[in-house]
Amino acid sequence: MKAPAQATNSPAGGWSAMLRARMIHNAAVRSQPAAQHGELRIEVPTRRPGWLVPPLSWVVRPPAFRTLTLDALGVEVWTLCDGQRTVEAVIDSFAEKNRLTFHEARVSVTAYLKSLLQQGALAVAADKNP
Amino acid sequence: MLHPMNADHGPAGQTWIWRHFRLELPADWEMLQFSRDMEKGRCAFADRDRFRLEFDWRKVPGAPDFERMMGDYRARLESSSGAAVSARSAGAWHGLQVRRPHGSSSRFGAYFAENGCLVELVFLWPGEPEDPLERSILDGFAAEPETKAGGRRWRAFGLDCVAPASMKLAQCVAQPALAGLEFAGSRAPDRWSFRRLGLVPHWMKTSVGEWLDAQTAGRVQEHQRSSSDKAGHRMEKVEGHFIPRGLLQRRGRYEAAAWICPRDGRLYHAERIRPRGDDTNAEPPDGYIACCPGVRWPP
Repeated sequence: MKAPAQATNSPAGGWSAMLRARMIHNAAVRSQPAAQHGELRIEVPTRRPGWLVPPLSWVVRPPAFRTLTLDALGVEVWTLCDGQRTVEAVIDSFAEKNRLTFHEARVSVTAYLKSLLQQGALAVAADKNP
Repeated sequence: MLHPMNADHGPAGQTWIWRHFRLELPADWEMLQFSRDMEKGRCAFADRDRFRLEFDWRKVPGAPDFERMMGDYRARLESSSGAAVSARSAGAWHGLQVRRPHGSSSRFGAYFAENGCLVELVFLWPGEPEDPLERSILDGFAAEPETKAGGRRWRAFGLDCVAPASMKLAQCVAQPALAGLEFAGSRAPDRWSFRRLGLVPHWMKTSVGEWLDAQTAGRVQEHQRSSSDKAGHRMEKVEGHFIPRGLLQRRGRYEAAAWICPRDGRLYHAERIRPRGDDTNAEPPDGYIACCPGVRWPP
């Protein structure tokens, strides 16, 4: 018999901690329906970079918002992130609606959530009484 | 000639057929890692939270000395981790169970003479080992024989297909809403490919027939399209001469079929390119893939 292989070396808890997390919209985000049916445009406030000081800031004026356009599938995920549902519940709803298996939905949804988190549109909701 | 398969789905759980081995697993376990290598490889299955089962295979010249293997492995485990190790067996399987405070594992090995393969199954238990489940998976594991007509069945990622035994699995794609298996023969351009695509309403803006035409991407001449109904499935088919791009590429016969299964809403695509003059396996390509248990492909 050989030594334990890759799958055995994965974190002992698997990805369950990630599934139990809850996502919430950044309260500063503004959203409005996009021109194309089913899409949503969201504006995420940007932070002024540290290097942007006078006199450079008198000339360079970065946009105050970063605009993201979510397609119909993105809107589904966005709507499900209400701070109450866990990531697992979001995945289950997405999988059921789109007739995907759990792991198909998990891969798509978590990649999408990661990109929204990185762009500041979403935040991880923390429990008041952990 | 290969005969089209019949779709049979296990009553409880789900059947996976990979590398000519059949596994009966709980319905919520999915294959998240795979290997196409026939000599030595590994697949790993997970439930919604974590990896649960690892399936390893290795071609070996003959049956190994299991007693010695198990003895060596047990000694190594006991000396390195101090874990509680106990011997287990089930039918032809020889195994060891390792109990640790934060999860246990069971490792079983068996030799399958018909495939010349040493197979190892590793169960990862988040808590206490589930003996009835372990036993049922071991009992359900079997070598999947070649069909009478010389075909090999593969069943994974929602695809259930048969390809000639002489062909090798050349490519496997498993992505969200896209699964594909491609088999290649030794004589170019011999190639069979099966695909299953999801989220269809979100990306398909044409009819299935038009989509099927687009898949030929200008590689098919004397292109003929037809449609038929099979057990509530509207099948679109294309036939023609395969004209590959590039110099000195061999031409062949092209056949493809596509349909949306009303049961799972997925688009199925079967494509076959055969060398000229190859008249074996004359059934249309859709006869080698099943999409749902309700469908029995032509007798």
